[in-house]
Amino acid sequence: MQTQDYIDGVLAKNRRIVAKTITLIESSLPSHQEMAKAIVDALLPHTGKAVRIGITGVPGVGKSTYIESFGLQLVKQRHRVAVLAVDPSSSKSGGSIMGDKTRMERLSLEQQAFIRPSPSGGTLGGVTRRTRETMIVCEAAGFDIIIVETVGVGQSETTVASMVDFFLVLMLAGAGDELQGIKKGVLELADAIAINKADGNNIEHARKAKIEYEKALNLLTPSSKIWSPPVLTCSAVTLDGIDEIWQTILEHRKKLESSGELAEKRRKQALDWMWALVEEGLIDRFYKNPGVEKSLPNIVKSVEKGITGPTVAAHKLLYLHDLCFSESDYEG
Amino acid sequence: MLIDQKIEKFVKREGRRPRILVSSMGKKRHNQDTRRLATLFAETGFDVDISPLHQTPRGTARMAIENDVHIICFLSTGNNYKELVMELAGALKAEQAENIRILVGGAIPRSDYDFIHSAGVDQILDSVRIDKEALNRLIDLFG
Repeated sequence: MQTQDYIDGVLAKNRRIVAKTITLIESSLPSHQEMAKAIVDALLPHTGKAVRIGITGVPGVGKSTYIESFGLQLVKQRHRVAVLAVDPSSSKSGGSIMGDKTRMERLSLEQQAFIRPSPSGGTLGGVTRRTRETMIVCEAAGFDIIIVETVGVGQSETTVASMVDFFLVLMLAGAGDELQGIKKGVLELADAIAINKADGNNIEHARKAKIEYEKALNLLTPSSKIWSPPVLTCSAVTLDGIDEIWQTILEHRKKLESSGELAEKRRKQALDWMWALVEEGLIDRFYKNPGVEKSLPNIVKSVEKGITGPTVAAHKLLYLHDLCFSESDYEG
Repeated sequence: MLIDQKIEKFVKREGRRPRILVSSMGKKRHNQDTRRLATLFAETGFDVDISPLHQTPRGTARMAIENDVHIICFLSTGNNYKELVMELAGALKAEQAENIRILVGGAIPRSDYDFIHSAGVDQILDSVRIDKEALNRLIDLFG
């Protein structure tokens, strides 16, 4: 298939070609990346209208089940929903197991839904570039709601928050010590917090947790002048509160649109995108640098054996990188 | 050639790992075989998708297309594997995705092998004996 075939296929909402385009974006081959760049560039003018939602939460909080209920409701309202799962678990070998669709049984069958888990195993950086570009492809293919799911560990939530309009943090009601073990950083990113699994015997706990989180959020300086993140409760099982969250997202969008904050946010995100690409490109160049490539195994071994110290080794590698930096790096 | 080398070669050529969807297309719960096999595939270096329970052949085909997998591994848990395989192959063809390879695992009597192969299945694995060596042969499907 040629570049134009991909572009036409995506714009024609062809499911197979949308999937193939995402594969191209995720590919590690330079020739594929070159093609993907051209495709994304051509699709960019067809995007910008979709609602981009990031959803995070610790493992076990019920993200997938929540997205299943939420997504089904949106589909019922005639929206077209794309779900991208960012960093599934991966094993040592570099292979990975992606089980996200196992918990989105009904949504995965909807004509108006598209679910794509992506392996993160074995790629350095990568996640940012690929997810942003994948969002562009989905938007161009007519999906008007893009949900990016990420596990609330490591750096991924900061990355995802920097590419969406609305960042939803799912929490669980514990037994009194709700705020323990929660990173302050995650709360700062949230446009709303939802206490999930607020059903059955858990309703009372959820209500208490809601008050705790509200107190915690009050202590933070809000990042927006016109939006203070609310704390909601919901249940992906009874569906209580699911619609309320969607209404909150719509209200948030309305406010940000009319105040001009949405445009500002997206401009800032374009800059984030650029920096992320620069960082990823630097890492990529480091590993592809012939001088580094040649000496890396020996230096690694030497540090492992305790012969060379980590500081000296790092300096040496960076020096090698600078040394081999050539004009040819500018080409292409 | 060792399987690690084959996978490495595959990645260099395709730009990604071989991706496989494991589906039992049955009504039963995921059995021990599904989990064991998914883990084995992942440990070998595959990217593995696991399909939901109660997945139909059509749903399996659709998931294979969205996730853009190279192979579907259908783990048979019942007696209706012939129908399921035919439906799966048909659903893939309807979406112009017949280049996705099908692999069947399970207790399939030898007398049915010809039928299943002719329905579009590339390889049949005796699920009791799926090991790295069997996976090594699987990679050969991609040359």
